[in-house]
Amino acid sequence: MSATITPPAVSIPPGDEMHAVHHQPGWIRRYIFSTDHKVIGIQFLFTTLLMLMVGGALALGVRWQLAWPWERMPILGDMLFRTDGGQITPEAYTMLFTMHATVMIFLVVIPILAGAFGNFLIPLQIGAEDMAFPTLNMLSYWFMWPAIGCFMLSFAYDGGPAAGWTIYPVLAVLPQAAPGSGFAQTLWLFGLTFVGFSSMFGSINYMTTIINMRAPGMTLFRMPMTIWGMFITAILQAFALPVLTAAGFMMLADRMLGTTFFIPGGLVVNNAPATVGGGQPLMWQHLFWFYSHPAVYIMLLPAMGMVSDMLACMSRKPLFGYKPMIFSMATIAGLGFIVWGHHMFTSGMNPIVGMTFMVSTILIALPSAIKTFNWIGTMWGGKLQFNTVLLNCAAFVSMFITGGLSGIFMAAVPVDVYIHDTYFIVAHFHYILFGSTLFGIFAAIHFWFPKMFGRMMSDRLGQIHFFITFAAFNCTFFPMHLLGIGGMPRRYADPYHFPYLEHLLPLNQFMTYAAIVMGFAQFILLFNFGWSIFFGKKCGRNPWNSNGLEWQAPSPPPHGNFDVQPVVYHGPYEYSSPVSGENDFLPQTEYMPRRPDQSQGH
Amino acid sequence: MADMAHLHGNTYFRVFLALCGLTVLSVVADLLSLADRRIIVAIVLAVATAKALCVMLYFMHLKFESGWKYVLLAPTIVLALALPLSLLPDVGMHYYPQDTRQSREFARLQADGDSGHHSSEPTNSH
Amino acid sequence: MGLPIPNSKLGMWLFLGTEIMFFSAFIGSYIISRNGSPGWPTDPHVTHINVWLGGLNTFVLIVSSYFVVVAHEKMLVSNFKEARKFIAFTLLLGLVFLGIKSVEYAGKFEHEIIPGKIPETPTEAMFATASRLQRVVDRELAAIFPGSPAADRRTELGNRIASAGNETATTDPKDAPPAGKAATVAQLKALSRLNEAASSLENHVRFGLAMSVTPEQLIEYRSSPTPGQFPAITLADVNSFVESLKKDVDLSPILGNFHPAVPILYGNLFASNYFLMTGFHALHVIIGLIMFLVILAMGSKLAFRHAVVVENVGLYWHFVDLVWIFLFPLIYII
Repeated sequence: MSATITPPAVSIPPGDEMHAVHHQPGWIRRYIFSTDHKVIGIQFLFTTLLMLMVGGALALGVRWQLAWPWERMPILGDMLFRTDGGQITPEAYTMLFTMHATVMIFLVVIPILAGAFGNFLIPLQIGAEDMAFPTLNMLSYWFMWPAIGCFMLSFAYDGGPAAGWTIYPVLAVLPQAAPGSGFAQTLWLFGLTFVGFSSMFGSINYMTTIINMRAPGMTLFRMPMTIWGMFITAILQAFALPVLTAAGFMMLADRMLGTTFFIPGGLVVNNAPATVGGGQPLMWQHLFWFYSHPAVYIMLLPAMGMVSDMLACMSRKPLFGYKPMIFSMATIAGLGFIVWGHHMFTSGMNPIVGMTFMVSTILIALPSAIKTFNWIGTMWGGKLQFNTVLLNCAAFVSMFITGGLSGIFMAAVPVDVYIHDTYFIVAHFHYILFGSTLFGIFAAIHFWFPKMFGRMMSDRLGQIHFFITFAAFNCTFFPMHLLGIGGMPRRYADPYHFPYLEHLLPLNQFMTYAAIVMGFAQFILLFNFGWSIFFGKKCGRNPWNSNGLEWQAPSPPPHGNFDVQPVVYHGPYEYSSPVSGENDFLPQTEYMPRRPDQSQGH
Repeated sequence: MADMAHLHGNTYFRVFLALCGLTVLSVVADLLSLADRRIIVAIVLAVATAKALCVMLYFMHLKFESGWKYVLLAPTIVLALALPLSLLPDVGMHYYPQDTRQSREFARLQADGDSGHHSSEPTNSH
Repeated sequence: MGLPIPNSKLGMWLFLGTEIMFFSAFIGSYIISRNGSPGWPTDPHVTHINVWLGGLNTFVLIVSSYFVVVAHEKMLVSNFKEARKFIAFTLLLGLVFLGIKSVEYAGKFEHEIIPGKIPETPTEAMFATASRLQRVVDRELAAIFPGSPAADRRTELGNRIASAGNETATTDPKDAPPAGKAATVAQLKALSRLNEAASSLENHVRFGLAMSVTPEQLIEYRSSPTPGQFPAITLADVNSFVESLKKDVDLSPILGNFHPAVPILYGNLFASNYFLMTGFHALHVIIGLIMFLVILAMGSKLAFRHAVVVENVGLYWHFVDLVWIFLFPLIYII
């Protein structure tokens, strides 16, 4: 316990004004190459919001092509495809959906959860003054930029990488396979490697910080769910990501050094000489999904944790089933390691393996259901505060249920064989990644904005943004289930080429209108965000009357976070507690008259 | 770290000697021409595991650490073993007949009574 | 609150956890690829895997691991001079490891065990031998006529031999090409013969006819190919042809280092795995050496509080040793 508290250099009693000794670094060290976790978190937040715009624009390009195939795309098309008269060529279309997925997964969702909120919240919520390795933390942010550079540069080579974000061989591994399989694909792999380094630095840092730097009294089972989500995510990242990094190096070697890990022998592609080969393309799929299935949970668990915290606060009720929530999260993570094969049911995998993966995948429904019921249980009978945060959290829960249910369809091999690689799967993962995670992120932005900048975001604008986004989201993605069952495959530049899909054109046009509305609605969020940084209503330390340690620090917290070393007496969910006096909340730093075990989990 | 006080150079040196002995053992196993290669495989993998345990327990001081070592290492080792094991039925074996140029060449070699492969090896290659 | 170990040591152990997964992806896919490829090359005469060099490297790493432990022990008793000495020894042994590794790599390159370039069937081996022989001729010609374009060198060789036969002919100093390797007429004639042999081998391999087929018959076959008219070429045929060239007194100095290609089934996948695994291991060795250099660069500033740094670097180095402990039997023995 004592090993982690920096002893004060001057003779003041421990736990009192411990940050008097910090000196203020220069402007560049403070705001650009900062080692302060809060600044790094906010840097991540700005970068990922910028990338969210880029990824959204790419998605609109995809939607445009599906609604009005081969027509000149206004604004974006003129900017990106001027040489083709603003028209999206088939090669450009594959590049658009590849880069949309890449940007959204590697540059938006993973870094905004782990990078932005993880960095900002972990030390604050466990009562530490900073991360365990601040310099490593800074590097984890600055490794994002070479990755962004590589990804953006790959647009410039032959229309960008075109093998999809899953870069299956042999399309991705043979440079002669397609126009987009050239140098752009190599650049893409370098970008992936940089993202991998960034995530690895981050995850080691988070794990060390959470294990070793908790404030006195912050036992493991007094940690907020956010911290649990971040912790389990970091574990997933640390132990799954190296496999993808290794596989990425193998593919880079295949592309650049003549190795043959993923290249089968004697394959003739595009009249090039037959490949020397000897390797197996299916091995890439296994290695890739060994990381990328856990990555799905990396993109979800932190949001689950944050939403649990926010729902308890906005319902003014203790979180329903705190320990079951933790255990179900851990179970999801554990099962997440042994379900990757369900992405490969139609790849020609051994049917025995397919059966195993089907059973383990369906098992994930159990812990997910526990979490869902507990969120509903948390809201049930609470004093719901109908603000932007609660609305977004409720959207998270309901969209998670919708997306989770469609996931069970595809977990079953017999069903998956029919709807694999159709728009059904596109609907499913957008319900999880956008519907769940992104609404969770919107909630988190509104909830922790006061702590980041000391001002409130406008709740009215937030609600307008929420309702437009929520309606447009469902109009965009719900019809995708119908398209999928109608047999529309994903990744086709012109599905209407096939007569049996022609009748789907009007539905696609409706979805594109909704997507455009959704895209423009995000400017409300951006405006609200930017405006509130400077002109929002000033707030105190604890505007939400919340219990977490972060609300005991000033808003925004200074370098070193707390003015008094916090000491924790109980868990973070003592809302409407009978022992809290006239308040309906009891901060973690306040002594609770009763023993903590008696009031927990009820 | 206080637990390491009773560890002294002597222990390390004995571990070092054990490691050298085990290395010699695996080279000797390679030189044995046993009928069944699988026995040699079993021996050298067992030797490698023994060496790894020696290094981890003594050189990396794991013997003297508290319970966290199990929490960290048990899942890692399970995952590390599970990765190849779970790929084995799918990529490591083929439940369908393979048709690549290597598999055709192997079938040809089998048909020739394995004569083509080794007889084609020139005598001066080594 | 937390564990009773320093942050840096916890971080190092977590990092090693990620490293275990990193290498288990490589080693796992090696085992899987190998298991899924019946006919994997195991003969050390074919793969040029040298168990003695591998064993020696294992020994070198074990000694270096022992030295790191001793260095850490000296740190704990504040004997920093001794600690620096043992770290320097470790650094040296790491360099020895890399030296032995590069000797092994050079041996592989000499026999063209290079991923993507290995013939896997007898036919490919015949083509590879023919093109290797051509490359020897090209190399020799380039040494003698460095200034002239590659396409003209063969003609020039003929001219040089002809002019050397005619002693009275004097070459215009302006026309004289930049002086290359001095060569006697006998050497030039030998090279010319080798050039003819190489072209003959290439033609025979291309048309799949045995070396006993005469040039006239070859021309006849080319104008009207009739299958089965002449005996087919075999790898043994090519190899004995190369043998006879190497036995030739005039050609043996040129061909002393020449190895005819050997077909290695799954040789490319084998070489891919070999170079990737040992290459990433060597990269980790280099990173470890840089860490040792950083510690040594501290010089006399090394103090007791650096014991944990030495311990962490030591942990990393033991991990590098551990990886090699598994790579050694998996690559060199099994």
